[in-house]
Amino acid sequence: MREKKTILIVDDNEDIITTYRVVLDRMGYGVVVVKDGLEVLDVIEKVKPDLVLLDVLLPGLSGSEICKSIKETAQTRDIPVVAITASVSADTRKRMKEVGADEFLLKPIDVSDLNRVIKQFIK
Amino acid sequence: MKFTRSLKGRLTITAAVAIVFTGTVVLLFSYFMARSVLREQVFKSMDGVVSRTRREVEITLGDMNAEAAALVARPQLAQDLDQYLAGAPGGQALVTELDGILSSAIPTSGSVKGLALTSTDGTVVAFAGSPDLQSGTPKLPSGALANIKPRHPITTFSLDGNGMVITEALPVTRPGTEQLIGAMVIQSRSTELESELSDTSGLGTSGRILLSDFVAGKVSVLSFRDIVRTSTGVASRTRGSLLRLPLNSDLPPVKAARGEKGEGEASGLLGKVVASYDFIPGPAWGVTATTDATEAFSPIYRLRNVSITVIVVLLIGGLLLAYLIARSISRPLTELRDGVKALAGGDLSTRVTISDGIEVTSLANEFNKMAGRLNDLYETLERKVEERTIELQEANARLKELDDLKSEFVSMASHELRSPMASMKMGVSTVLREMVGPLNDDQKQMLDIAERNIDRLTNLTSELLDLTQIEAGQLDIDLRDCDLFELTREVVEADQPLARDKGLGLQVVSKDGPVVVRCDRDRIYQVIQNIVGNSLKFTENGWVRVSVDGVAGGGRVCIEDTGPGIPADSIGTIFEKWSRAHSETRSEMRGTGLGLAICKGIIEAHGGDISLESAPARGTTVCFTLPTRGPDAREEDDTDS
Repeated sequence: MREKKTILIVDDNEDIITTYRVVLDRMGYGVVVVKDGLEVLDVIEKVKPDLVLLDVLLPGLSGSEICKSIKETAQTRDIPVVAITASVSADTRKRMKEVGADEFLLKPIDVSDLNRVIKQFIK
Repeated sequence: MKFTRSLKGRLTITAAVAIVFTGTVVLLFSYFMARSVLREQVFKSMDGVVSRTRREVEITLGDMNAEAAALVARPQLAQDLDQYLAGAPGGQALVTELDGILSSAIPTSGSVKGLALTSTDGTVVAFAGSPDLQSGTPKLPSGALANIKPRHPITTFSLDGNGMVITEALPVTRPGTEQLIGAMVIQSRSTELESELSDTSGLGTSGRILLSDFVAGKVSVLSFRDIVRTSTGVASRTRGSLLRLPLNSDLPPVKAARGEKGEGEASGLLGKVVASYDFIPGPAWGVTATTDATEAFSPIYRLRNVSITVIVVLLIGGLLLAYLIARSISRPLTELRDGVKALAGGDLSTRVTISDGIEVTSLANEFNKMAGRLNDLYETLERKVEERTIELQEANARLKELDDLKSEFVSMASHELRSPMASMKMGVSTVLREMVGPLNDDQKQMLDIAERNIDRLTNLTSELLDLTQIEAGQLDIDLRDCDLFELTREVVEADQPLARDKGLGLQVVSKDGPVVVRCDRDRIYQVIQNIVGNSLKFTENGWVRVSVDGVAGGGRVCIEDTGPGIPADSIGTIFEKWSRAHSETRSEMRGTGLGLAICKGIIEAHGGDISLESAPARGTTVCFTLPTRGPDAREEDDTDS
């Protein structure tokens, strides 16, 4: 029996976090939540998640900076990062792509989309 | 020709014409008056000379005639001559007797040169006095006796070494009959007549008095002033000279000899002369007084030259004066015109100072007043415009502020709405998909309603966001090369389930295959999806067809449906926001009315065009084009062309 895959959720909206928890738990994933951008890197080092769901708009460190750090650190470079954005703005997407985001999800998140994207990275 | 059309030119010409014309007329008038007076004077004085001379001739000849007539009247003379010519014996005695008669008849006064009794052919029978009249052919003026007739004496003149000789030939008839047998020829001198003819006082230095007479088919002309031109000019020959002129000549002496009286100018042997002439009936002579025209009319010529000079001076001076007058009149006008020109050119501070000419000065004053008023008005106007501009600018700034506030508000509201809706959506959809436990039908239905409305709200907020960005010109587009055909196929594939549900055909065609243009893939996806979505929404029967074609400089996508079409009065505003062509009754079908406005904004941000064609019951076709090289390239192309 394989170990549970872990997904790191970086978000500050308590309601969303709760929903993620319920949904992802149902899907059979382990969930770790970080609300403060500054803590993300420490947690990643410790937890070594299989996927990061990263809200781009965060207090503290911005989404793109977090993404950049993840992708620039050798140990965490291979962890897929899914950027979740409320903005359809191409500019935001471009910036995230530049810092190494692997996929995007647009708020509000449809559960089936979320499922599809996760499946894309976690087999 | 510009000069003649100007006021100055016209005034100059008018004044010049007035001055020169008046001056010339006055001058010519006085010239001709003076000329006529002078001519009269000249002719009068010449007439005086002519009549004086004529009188002298008549007196002289009258005396001579009386002496000759007394001689011829002696019966012994005619009788002896008749006998002698008839060849009577003792002819020599008769001649001697006749000589004696003649000798005794010569007056003691000495003016008679000689006497001769001749036969009709001119042969001298007896003589006394001058040896010129001795036997043989007497030195009578040739042809002097040719026209002699009974009771018709002939008087003629000639010249010899000592001066003028007057020859009278009186007819001698057979006693008791009228038969001509000979002539009594008397030759005499008249110093009085000679000096009279030499006296040219009143005629000037070139004056001459001429006597003329018919002699042997010509006219003899006698003058005691030279009538022969020499190389050194006119030489004076006080002993007189004799000239013979043809009968048909028009010269004054010939005319006078023909019996005419008159005066006038003539071109004679000595050039142009002025002449006065008369006929003396007694001796049948003509008397003529002449003077060189140049001399006689020299005051006239002087007057003429003075006149011409004055006219020329008048012309030049008149023109100059006229020009000065005209300039003095036109200069204030020119200054005024310059002022008007400057005023018309926008210089409202223009003022004209003219001190010459009452009318123009008053005009200039009025002009200055007008300019002043205009200036005041302009300044007032400018101030008002400035005030209004400031007011408008303020109002505009306020409006812009409000507009910015509105955009900011919409943007913020949309953002703020997003997060709660995202949470709601996630929660509702998770429950609805039964991921947290099974649901009954009623629960599903309720949650379905909730989810649909969350979707609508989400849609509306994102559309509002798009629109505020488009209106603010801040729509970000990420340009990349992408294939419109492939993009369209993706949309169609995604919409295929919806089409199937409604029983509509949905297909995409491209006769050109891939059509690659530079565009923002997601934005164009959004546009195609919006339009195809509209078509699927409103079409109940038939099909929706999407065609992709390459066109010059880009690609074109057309979405055609067999839907109800759009009323003609709605087509014009279909791309405006909040525009709805269909008043849908079902609330779930109602769109935001922003979709096409956003599509238009996106396409235009790409440098493309979007258009719609539709007719009720015949379906709708929406087409948009995108340039191959993106919006910037198209602008460059525009500037190139």
